[in-house]
Amino acid sequence: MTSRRVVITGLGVVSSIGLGKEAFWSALLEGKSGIRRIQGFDASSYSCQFAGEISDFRPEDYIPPADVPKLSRNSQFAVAAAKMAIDDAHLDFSKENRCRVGVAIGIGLGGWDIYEAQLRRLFETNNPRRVHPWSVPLIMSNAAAAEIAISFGLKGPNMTVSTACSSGSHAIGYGCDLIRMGKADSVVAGGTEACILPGVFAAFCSLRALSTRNEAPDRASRPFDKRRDGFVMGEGAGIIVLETLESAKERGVIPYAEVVGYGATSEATHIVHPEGTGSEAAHVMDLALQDAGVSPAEVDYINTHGTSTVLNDLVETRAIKRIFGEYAYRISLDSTKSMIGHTIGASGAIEGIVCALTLQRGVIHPTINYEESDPECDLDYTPYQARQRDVKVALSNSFGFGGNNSCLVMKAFS
Amino acid sequence: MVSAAMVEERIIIGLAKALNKQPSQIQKESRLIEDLMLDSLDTLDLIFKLEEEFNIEMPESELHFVTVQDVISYVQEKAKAE
Repeated sequence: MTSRRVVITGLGVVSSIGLGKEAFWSALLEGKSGIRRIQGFDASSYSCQFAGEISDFRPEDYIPPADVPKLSRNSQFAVAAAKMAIDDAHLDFSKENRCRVGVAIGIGLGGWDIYEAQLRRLFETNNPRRVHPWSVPLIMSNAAAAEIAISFGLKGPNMTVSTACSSGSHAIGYGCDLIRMGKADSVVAGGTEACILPGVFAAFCSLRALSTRNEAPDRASRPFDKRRDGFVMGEGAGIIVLETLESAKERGVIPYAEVVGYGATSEATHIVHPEGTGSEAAHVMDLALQDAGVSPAEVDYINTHGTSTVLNDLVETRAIKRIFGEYAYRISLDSTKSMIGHTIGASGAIEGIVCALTLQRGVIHPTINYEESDPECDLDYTPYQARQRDVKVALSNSFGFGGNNSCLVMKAFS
Repeated sequence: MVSAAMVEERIIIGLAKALNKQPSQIQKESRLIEDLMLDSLDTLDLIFKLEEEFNIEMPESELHFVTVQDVISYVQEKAKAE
């Protein structure tokens, strides 16, 4: 394996609390919630009636208007966030070898906005000819990665990672591996999701995975709080530009952070339940730290998976204690999902962006709605208020349905 | 009853929208592929919308359009027959 160093030089975010990295970051530090009653469909008969929906996204701000109907909502988010990240990195692909630029995108579902709408047409008309001919290219889960490549002419490896809630994190890890292995020189990597839809929501409600705090949506996502009662669905995209340290230097761009380690494991036990003692979640953190050559005592900050489900937050806390022992109490933790909910395939990528900004700016965003401490979740989750802290090493955890676990290790760039 | 003028208007407006152009930029003698650069997905979308709007079926074997006028004539005939 070559030892090419991989850095992050561009960030793009589409979220329910802000479009673009600066709006997103300011909202995070203010502790703003993006969770509201669902506007996209009538959810009054659902056990969960709220989500982190994005209300101010205008696709035509990023995509030629005639092309907008040719992209599902998740692909629109992805192309918009990719444009932001590429602009932020000051990358001019006309000066790059496009065959050496890859794309790696995580997504949990795919273009289910189109899928649900077309199924409805089929069942309402009972006529298969009424299903729109664009359905396949809009629904397929690799559409977002393909649309990014088409939009920017990127001809390197183009991969879609679908590992539920860890998809975005795995996509970043995979993008780093492509660069480390010499298969690409830069990669546009991240995740996207847009599945606040009646069918998807019904399925998650039936699984009893979502919070039912309908009387107070903005207080429903409360990771690590004793009264947490399930996760809150969100939507959005997070895309970054990864490149070699050498190319960033040549271009005169100062990286946000360096990605130094990536761990990927399967729990291989249960399709949705995490292993209870935290040994499996600990395993992926351990692998990532080994890959990074970083000792546990060097870690200052962990952006947790922190979903606000009873079991996830407990198991993650146990796993962190297994790896870090007493030192776990000195690490700053937070949960981005407390504000934007769980953006499924985008979450690991958006949280990777949070790590990069935290390393660059030395501020830990708060975990909002943390009001009553849980005796079993007793670490420092940065409740209420953002906090200044010089962060040298950060971890980002993502644990997906299917037992697909991912952990990224990043270092401050100096 | 669908009038011939209505068919013409709907087709020109539909093409203009799909191609991000003004209706005045779509000439009846324009060739769909060579002049208007309609791709296969655009063509399928056009057929899909015409079938729905005029309640007609446009089987693959009958689709031999070169110009905008060919589409207009075909749909006018079909709509009349239906």
